[in-house]
Amino acid sequence: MVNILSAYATGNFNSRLKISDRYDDLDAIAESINMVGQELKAVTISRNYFNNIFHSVSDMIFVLDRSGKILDTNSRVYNHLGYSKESLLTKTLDDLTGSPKPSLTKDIAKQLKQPGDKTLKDYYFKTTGGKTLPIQLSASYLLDGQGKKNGILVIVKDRTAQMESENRVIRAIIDTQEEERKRLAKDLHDSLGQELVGVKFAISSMSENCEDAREKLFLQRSDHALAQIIADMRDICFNLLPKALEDFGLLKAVRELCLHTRMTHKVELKITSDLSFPDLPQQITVDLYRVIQEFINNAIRHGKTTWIGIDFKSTADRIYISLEDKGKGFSPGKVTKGMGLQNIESRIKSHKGEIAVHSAYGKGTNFQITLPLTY
Amino acid sequence: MKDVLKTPVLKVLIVDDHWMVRDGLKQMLKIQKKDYHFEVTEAENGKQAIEKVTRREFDLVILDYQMPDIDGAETAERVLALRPGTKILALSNYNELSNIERMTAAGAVGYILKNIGAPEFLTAIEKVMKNESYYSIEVYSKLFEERRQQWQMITLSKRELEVLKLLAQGKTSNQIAGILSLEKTTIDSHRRHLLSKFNTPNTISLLKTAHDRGLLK
Repeated sequence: MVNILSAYATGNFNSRLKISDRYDDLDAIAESINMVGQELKAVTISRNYFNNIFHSVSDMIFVLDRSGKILDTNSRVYNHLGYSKESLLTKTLDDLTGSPKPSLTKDIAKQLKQPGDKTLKDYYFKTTGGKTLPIQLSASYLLDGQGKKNGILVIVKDRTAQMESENRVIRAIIDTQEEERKRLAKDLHDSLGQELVGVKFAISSMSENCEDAREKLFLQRSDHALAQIIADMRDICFNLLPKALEDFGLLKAVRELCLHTRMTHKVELKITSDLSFPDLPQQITVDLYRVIQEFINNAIRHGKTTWIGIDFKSTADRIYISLEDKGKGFSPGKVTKGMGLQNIESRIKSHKGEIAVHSAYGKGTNFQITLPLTY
Repeated sequence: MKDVLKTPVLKVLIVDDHWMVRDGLKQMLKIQKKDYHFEVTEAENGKQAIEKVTRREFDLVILDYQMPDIDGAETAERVLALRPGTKILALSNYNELSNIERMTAAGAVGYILKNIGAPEFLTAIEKVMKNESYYSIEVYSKLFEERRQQWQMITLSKRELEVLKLLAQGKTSNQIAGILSLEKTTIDSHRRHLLSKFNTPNTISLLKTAHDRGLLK
């Protein structure tokens, strides 16, 4: 009996006592000890079972108390982020995001109060090595045996791989679109456009030579219409892909765009740039141009602005573009469809850039774009 | 200067990679009713144009901007290097400032768009032959809008203009403060305003820009 008890004390719950035929008090005690042994074995198996799952799932798991303090983590947290479980105790998830805003603790509390889908996206964890990890997480209450809310279970997925494949898809869509625009602009300008020009010149000459008044008028009208068609086609080609973007780079193309916009809308546009603003690879150039184009479109169409400011700055390893209008503004949470904000974000993020959107009703809109120069 | 348009023959080289465009241009040159006529040669690209200019002299080269091998601007530069007296009239469907600037910097005297009509085409030739610049109205309004914008952006106060002129004389902030009986910090803030109004990073480029705009006279 002593042997058994000391085996139990070291965690070995497999041995059982022999029960004699006497059924005396000693047997009753031995019976009870065996039952305790069986119970302990069952609990231990389910605990091992739990521990195995807890540490071998690919997601990071945090157990928080109701105030958001970390009580327990699985080993994935260490694998992904480099933090040991001990170093995280009593900290909150906000200590892992590297910035107090948006507060993950508050957002989780908010999510828990709402029924339905509890996935939070677009958050980031910082690793001990300083790397940024895109994450998505879901939270639920931990309930005890009586169904009391005892703590919060947070499951965090590393989105790096998912985002990379999302980016590749978006990138492919954007690239195809740009390729198509380029081809269309080239076709319109080069073959169709030049043939129209040829026809227009011929008709223009004929109308000059024509003696018959009625015929002359007819030719003049055709000449005039063709001139208009060619001018419209020029505008279409410019909107598809300005020549300057390929030949002279981003700044010159934006200047072209501003000039064009000033001549077609009642809006003042101001471009400022530092002299060191670098030449960028064609893909980034086109993406930034589209972002600026979209901003100007939105500022005029939705914001009804009369003033737009565009500022280009750069350091050795980063470029900064600030876009600003003094229009109606919008509430960033309630972005109307058709504003192309998603498209803007995708383009910037596919180059590992960041975009901060500041806007409020009546306060105008400001985009701050930062792009690392990692090519 | 002798009036070239009174001379009986004007030797013209038309450079464009589309035969329909070249044909149309020839057609427009034929119908003119004035008492001069054109002797037209064609080239399909920049390379051909340069070859033909090497062989003989032309009075006027009508030059497309976008061509497959050597673009219009480079062709213009090389033509003028060979025959500096040649007049160049750029003809393009691009109405973008960068292209216009590039062509004029390369030596084109005029820049017309390809939806031009026959009478205007002849006016452009007449002007260019007199070495007067000529632009299609859309091109002209673009150039004008750009100029207007640049001027509108900079309005200087009387004090800023004073500081600017003293800077141009090589004076330091301290010296300027002494001359104008102001604090040095005031002068420095004027200088900051000047840099931002002219959108220049330092005093040297500020003075250069101001000089280019004729503000230092």
